[in-house]
Amino acid sequence: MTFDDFAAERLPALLRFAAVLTGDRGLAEDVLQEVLLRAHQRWAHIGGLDVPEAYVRRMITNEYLSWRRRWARVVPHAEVVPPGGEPDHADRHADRDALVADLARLPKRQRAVLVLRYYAGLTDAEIARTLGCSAGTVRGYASRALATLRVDLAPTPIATIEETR
Amino acid sequence: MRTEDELRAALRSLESEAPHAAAVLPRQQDNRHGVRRRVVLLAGAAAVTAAAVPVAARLLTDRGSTPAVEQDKLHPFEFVFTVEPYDGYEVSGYAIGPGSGQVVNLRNENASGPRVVVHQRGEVDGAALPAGEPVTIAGRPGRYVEIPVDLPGGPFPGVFWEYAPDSWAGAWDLGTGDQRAASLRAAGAVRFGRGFPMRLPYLTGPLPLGLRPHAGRLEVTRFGNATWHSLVQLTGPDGPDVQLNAVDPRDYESSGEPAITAPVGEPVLLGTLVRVRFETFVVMVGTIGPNGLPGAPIDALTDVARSLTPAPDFGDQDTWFDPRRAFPL
Repeated sequence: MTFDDFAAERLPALLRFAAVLTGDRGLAEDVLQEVLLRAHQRWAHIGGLDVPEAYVRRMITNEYLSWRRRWARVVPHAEVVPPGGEPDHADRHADRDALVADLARLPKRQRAVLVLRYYAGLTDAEIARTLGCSAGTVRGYASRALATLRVDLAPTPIATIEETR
Repeated sequence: MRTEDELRAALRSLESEAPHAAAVLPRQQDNRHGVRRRVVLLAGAAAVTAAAVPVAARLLTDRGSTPAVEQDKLHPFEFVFTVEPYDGYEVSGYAIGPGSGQVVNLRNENASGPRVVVHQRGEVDGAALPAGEPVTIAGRPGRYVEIPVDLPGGPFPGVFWEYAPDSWAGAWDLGTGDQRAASLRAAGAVRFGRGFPMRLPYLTGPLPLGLRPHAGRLEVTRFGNATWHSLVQLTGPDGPDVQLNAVDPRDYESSGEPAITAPVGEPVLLGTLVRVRFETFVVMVGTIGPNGLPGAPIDALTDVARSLTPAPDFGDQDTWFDPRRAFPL
């Protein structure tokens, strides 16, 4: 597969991934452009991999987490008072907005773990390989992030636990 | 409490933040036939391209937007133009590097604004550009078109103009308003001949591994604690990249980086980065090698960090250094 073919086929998904990972259109644009420039330069290597997209997605994640991008962006956040009664459509939007705002305030590595697990659908072992850490560390990041976001974990299938060890 | 499904939905909702494809596609470089000019992507960002070569460009005198005087060499961090503030927009960041052009981003109090990219002579093949709507920018011929890119993804509206023979610049706005008016207004604010060097918050000593300045970026971090964020990329003849990232200590801390307990000015390795704190800012020195592998050895990163002489006040760019002094060629 040529780089052009790869870009034509996978660019939309990579754009969405970068946007979800960063939560910021401008940052997603910068991160992805830099990654694609590097990927293009190294395509002789990357193009020969079984799953080039996984490699590029890892590059995007690392670029996002890298020290190049450490300038903080403080997102204004207003506390949302939980409404009483059954949530209507507007309430659900408000809840989602509040959750998105909370996501934006997470440390980058915790956010990346959540995006890779809940958006990209990676296992903790795969996330660990992407981030260059242990699965236990991934679970630690996830646990802290979910606690911060007040997300209640669903029961975890045994197979998933085994896979991440 | 929230549920995992709600978290998934919130993350999916962020897909709407995905930028337009044309804003991120990189420039294609075709080395199969030597230096083959192509229509380049007029969307610049930080430069991450190959060789570290001095910029052979024009020295421009102040004649509006029309450059006049030739010069053999400019410093890699020397801009040949400025963008005058207008309508509440002012410069919010710069990026520069071979192959990616000289980039100036604008913003107002509320949001990102237009972007201007100036390419050197010969980087853009004007003959391959579509005709578009003829426009004039400071007396020079230009076109308002769907800016062409040489990769799939589609164009988006903007203006480009031939500011000097065989030398092209572009301006566009990714906002939702009148993009024609916005891009023309930004192009009209470009002033050649009032160039400036991208200032740096430190001087370096002799660099190891034959490292030379390659590309840089300076951002105004309006939404952070600090005022500035400075990024410099060095590259050596064997390929490793070394990057110096200077940030305000408050931004450093708020981004979750490990605390630096070493004395001021003393480099320390934490994680994969060599870090050194000064009185008013922190510098992180890292490396990227070919194919994503580590490039320069830690000792070399430490040598770079140890050689730094900090500017007196990170918050005051007037105290920063001229890159021609920081990285003499």
